[in-house]
Amino acid sequence: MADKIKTEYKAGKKVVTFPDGKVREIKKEEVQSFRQHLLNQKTNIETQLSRVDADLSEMEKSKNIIVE
Amino acid sequence: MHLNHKKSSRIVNRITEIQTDGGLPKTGQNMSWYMFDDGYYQMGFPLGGAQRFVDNGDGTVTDMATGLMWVSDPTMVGLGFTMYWYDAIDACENLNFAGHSDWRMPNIFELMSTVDHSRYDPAWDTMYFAYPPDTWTPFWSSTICAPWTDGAWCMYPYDGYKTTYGIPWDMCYVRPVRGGQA
Amino acid sequence: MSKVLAHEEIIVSTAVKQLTPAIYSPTEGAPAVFAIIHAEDGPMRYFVNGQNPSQSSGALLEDGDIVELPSIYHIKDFRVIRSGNDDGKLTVTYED
Repeated sequence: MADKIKTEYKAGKKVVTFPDGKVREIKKEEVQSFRQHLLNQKTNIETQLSRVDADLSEMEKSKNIIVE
Repeated sequence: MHLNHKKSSRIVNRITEIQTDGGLPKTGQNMSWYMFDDGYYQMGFPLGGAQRFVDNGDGTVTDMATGLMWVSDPTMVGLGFTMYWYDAIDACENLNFAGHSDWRMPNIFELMSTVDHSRYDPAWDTMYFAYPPDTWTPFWSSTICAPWTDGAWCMYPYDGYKTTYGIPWDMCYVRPVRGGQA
Repeated sequence: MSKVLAHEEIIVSTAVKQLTPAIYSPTEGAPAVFAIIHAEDGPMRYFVNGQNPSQSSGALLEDGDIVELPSIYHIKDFRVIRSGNDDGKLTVTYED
């Protein structure tokens, strides 16, 4: 992998150089906005987890309730 | 004796040409829980009960709804392990299998098109696509994540979950594809 | 048991074609009572009642299709024309 792509950090940006010479710059703002997106996903995952845990605990509590 | 007109069998043509006017494949959901949900309408190709996937008997599978041909079991072509995104692209491009050499890494729409949302672990029909080496490790797509160009879109075998994985750091599986509209 | 009487090949283009009476109904011997038609190349359309088909009207006959005409009446009244941009070809075998 290392021999294919060159990654450097210059002037506050991430600079990626590809084998055919093409260069891509990644700016701080892009990465920060994506970071927020990841954090939102993390919050969502935690929310769904808490709902799944609540369901599991209710199911556990109801073990002794017989269904007619 | 009556007039008789027999159509010739053109299965071979159908596998190599696209005969649809365009449209989405079915999601696979066939149970309806709430009126007008996916299972109620079951929109998408193929219409009616027509066969969706065809096992070509040579380790490849053709999707009649999209015209794509897939490697049914990547472990059979030396792709049974995870690899970096660039290496996965190269592996598909260099693949010579079942008489074809134009294999490539699928884009995210193509990869997602094989998901069957009536199944999980994995979220596809194992009669046509092999069970993955690990249901929790995703498969690479060739599509870059627009807001984060270090990321490529991936699909989790477990439930068809679509997410991004890091191109410079992560290793995932790949399932080569060929064909489709250009 | 029928026997093969004759056969003909017809190129189907932009004019309506019929099967050739001199071939299916020769001056000597019984006329054909059955014909089997193998279609190739460009798609065509046909009618079996003497009506002229057109590019958009008539039963669609495609490359690889096989049509069986079970009587002299079907044979006599078979009309065919090219449906798309390419000529078609019919190989017709008659039995008596």
